[in-house]
Amino acid sequence: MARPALTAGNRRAGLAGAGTGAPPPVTDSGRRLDRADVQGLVGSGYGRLPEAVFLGLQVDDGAAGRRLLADLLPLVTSMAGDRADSALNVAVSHPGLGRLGMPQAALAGFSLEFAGGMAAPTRSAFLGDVGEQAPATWAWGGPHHPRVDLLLLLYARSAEELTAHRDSIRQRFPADGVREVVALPTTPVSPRDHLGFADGISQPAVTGLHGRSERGVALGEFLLGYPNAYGRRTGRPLLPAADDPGRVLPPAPRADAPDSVDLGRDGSYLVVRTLAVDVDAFWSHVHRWAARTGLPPEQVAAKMVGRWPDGTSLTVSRDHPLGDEPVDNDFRYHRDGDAAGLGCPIAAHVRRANPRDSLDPRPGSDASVRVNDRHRLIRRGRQYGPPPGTSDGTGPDGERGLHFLCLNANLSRQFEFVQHTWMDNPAFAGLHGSPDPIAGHHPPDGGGVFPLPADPVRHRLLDLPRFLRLRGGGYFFLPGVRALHHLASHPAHQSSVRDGKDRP
Amino acid sequence: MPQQSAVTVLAPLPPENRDRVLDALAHLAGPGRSALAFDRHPGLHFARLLLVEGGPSPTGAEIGPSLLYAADLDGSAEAHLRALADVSAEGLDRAFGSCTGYPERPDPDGRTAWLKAHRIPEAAFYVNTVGRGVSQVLAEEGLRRGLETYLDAHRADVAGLSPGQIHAVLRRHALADPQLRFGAVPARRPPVWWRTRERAHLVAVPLVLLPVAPLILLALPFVAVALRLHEVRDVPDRQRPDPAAVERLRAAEDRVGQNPFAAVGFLKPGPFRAVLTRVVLLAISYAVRHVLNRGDLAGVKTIHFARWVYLTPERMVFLSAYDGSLESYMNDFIDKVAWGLNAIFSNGIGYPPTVLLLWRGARQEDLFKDHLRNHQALNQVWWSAYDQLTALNTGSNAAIRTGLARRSLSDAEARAWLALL
Repeated sequence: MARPALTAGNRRAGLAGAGTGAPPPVTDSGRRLDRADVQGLVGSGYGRLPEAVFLGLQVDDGAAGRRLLADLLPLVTSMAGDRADSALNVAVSHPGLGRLGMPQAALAGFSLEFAGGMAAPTRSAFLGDVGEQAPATWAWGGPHHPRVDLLLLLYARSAEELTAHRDSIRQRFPADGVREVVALPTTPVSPRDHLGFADGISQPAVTGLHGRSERGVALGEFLLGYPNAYGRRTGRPLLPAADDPGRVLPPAPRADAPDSVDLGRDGSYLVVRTLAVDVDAFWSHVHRWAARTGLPPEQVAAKMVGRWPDGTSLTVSRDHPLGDEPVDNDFRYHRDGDAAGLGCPIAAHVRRANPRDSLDPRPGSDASVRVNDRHRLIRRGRQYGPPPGTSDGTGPDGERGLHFLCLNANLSRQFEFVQHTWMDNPAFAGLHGSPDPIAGHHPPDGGGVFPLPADPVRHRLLDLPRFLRLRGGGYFFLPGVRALHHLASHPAHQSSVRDGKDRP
Repeated sequence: MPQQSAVTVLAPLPPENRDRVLDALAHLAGPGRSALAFDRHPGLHFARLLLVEGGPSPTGAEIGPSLLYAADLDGSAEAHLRALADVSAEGLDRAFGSCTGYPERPDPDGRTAWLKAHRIPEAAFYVNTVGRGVSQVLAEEGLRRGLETYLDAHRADVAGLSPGQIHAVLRRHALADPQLRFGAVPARRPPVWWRTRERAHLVAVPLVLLPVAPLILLALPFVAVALRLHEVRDVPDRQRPDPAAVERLRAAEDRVGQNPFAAVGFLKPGPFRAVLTRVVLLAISYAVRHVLNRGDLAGVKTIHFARWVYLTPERMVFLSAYDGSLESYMNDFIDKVAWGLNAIFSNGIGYPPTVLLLWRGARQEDLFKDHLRNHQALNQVWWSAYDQLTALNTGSNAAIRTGLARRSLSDAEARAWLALL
């Protein structure tokens, strides 16, 4: 089996190429972030690499899968090497970890949501992925599709370079034992999404992620192995030190488990959801309600989104976009006089994705923000499909949408909570029957309601259709670089020995 | 304006009948749903049936399984049991027929007597908003919908008016509509005798305690030391929940806007914890009766009803009906009222370690969530009279009615009131 050469020279390769040919050396106390151990996607969305494609692989033979992983390791981009001309990150599903030879005890250390997978019936019900959004209707990742065990995320500067990057990676796929089962192309990074709105403005500041001076949400909210917002390390797989003879993995804190190594450290859960967006339906709805309410169409659309197309918050500027670059994102809803939602409606998309200081305890207070910040996500999505035509996107010219990607350390408290309790909850913040105007699952009978606060009396947009359709998705684990090395080198016989219980 | 009551019925059953009871409950939750006819009990907010599993107690005694019925209702508990024995006879016989001592040839009187004999007291009972009955909740939701529909159709006509004038227009509209007319009159206040009794209780308890207050203060340091000594010896539960069990619970959760919660556990052994638990429950009873009775359980506004019940002197069950998902419920607990949770639940075996009763405990998120899932019980049958209305919804509907019932509002008042619609 091919094992990466453990040469010191490779360690600094991050600056030259992508570079993680050897596992980064295990360093110090483990309090400070080791950038060479964190895959680059955690630190950045690779905005300077506008082209991307995501490849889903099924691993039928564990040894072949490990061999491929070992071959890919030198190309994997860490946060230390994210200035390269191309990037590769690797994520693994729970079944994929099993295929690669992870022993049962290690698999059981992951979160239940990850282990069950996004398409599990209870997760589908919880996330609202039912009816025409159900996994059985997806284009990938559903029960009738091949398993996606490995997800390769490829980024490059241009279409030509992406093709070359992709081909060089595909060349490494073994003839047998590993198959590419889905390829998800993307459209080049653009400042606006398909609906015409600036996207990805609010990303959480994370303490210590980009250096010591960065202050914000606890690192452990996004990376396993670090204290989270409650000052505790989120549950993750810890292995007996004997399972890591090459000492590739960092030791686990003694308090959690003595004589153990941490497979989760520097890893994060990656949520992928392919969301087709019906641009025509959105704008025809907007125009219909603009006519009925007498508001300009752009304002109706902005009220639903919660920002003007250029990203200006409606709380910052109620009547018109400011065109600022960068936009003022340092606002709070209650503190800045928008408690009632006369600027940004309470039901608006961005206000419920990140309510800031809107909710209990004591809206407007720092305590409210602290509770809010226990439900943050790092978003790393990319658009796909042709951009809509200039005339408000008329005419069906193929499916388009968003590959929504986000990272978090606790799927249940972060991604699933935001999706269920904030976005899709018809009673969010005291509302009546109003799920998210864009992402929400409005009842098919036209019962979708969007209250648009106004003085002295509100508007209500009725009969909201569903603008988004889920086309695929999955829960993945984006391991730390050392953990990837461990996965690539993990000898299959070791787990079988353990299963036989004849280890000392 | 009805007062709310709790009913808890606990019926032991022979262990060999356990599966038969589970089958009966599955039937009553599914195809046989009409047999319990909960919708034919006008003042019934929530009702549930759950099988409390048996097993060995920490002191080694073998406890058999039992079937538990719990209801949150308007009016008297006795009247509810009588109505149940009549209106819900078919479902009752099916559910309790396999329980020890259930009448062989049940008739309404026999059932009522049996239910009364198996009724057990609640150690504490929380009502989101005391006095708000089912009929009021449903009527006020209808009122809101009626006003919303009117505004949807006539917004352009009223948008030029002042807020106070719009209030007057809506009031006129309600008065002209037989379905909405009730909303122009305020909800009835509780009767004088009831308010007098509550006030007397509010004052009497501190008065009785006043003479012994110095003794309590003197004893506190010793209690604290004893508590710490107990706490350092406590063994927290490190068990992760069984994935299959969590999956079973999840499959029954989040079908509507509300969820029923049930958790069963043993108290830590010994007289110290037994007394402490009693004292904390008395404090909770007093607090929820006089202070936390207006839509807010110490910062948590998503709980409709909750109760703590002794199943045996060493085993307790906690039941509640709450809005949203269990994840959000647990997050509310941890973020907003961890001290309150700790005060009562840290007397249960396996709870995350606490410091002086109120500190740490639930703040250890992972341990707390695992502990809760480990002790959670499935509610095989559950019924809600208004399963899409959150507690915040019912509260804001009531505020809409209160405002509408005022003859006139100032513009500032009317503006705040219109924001509810």
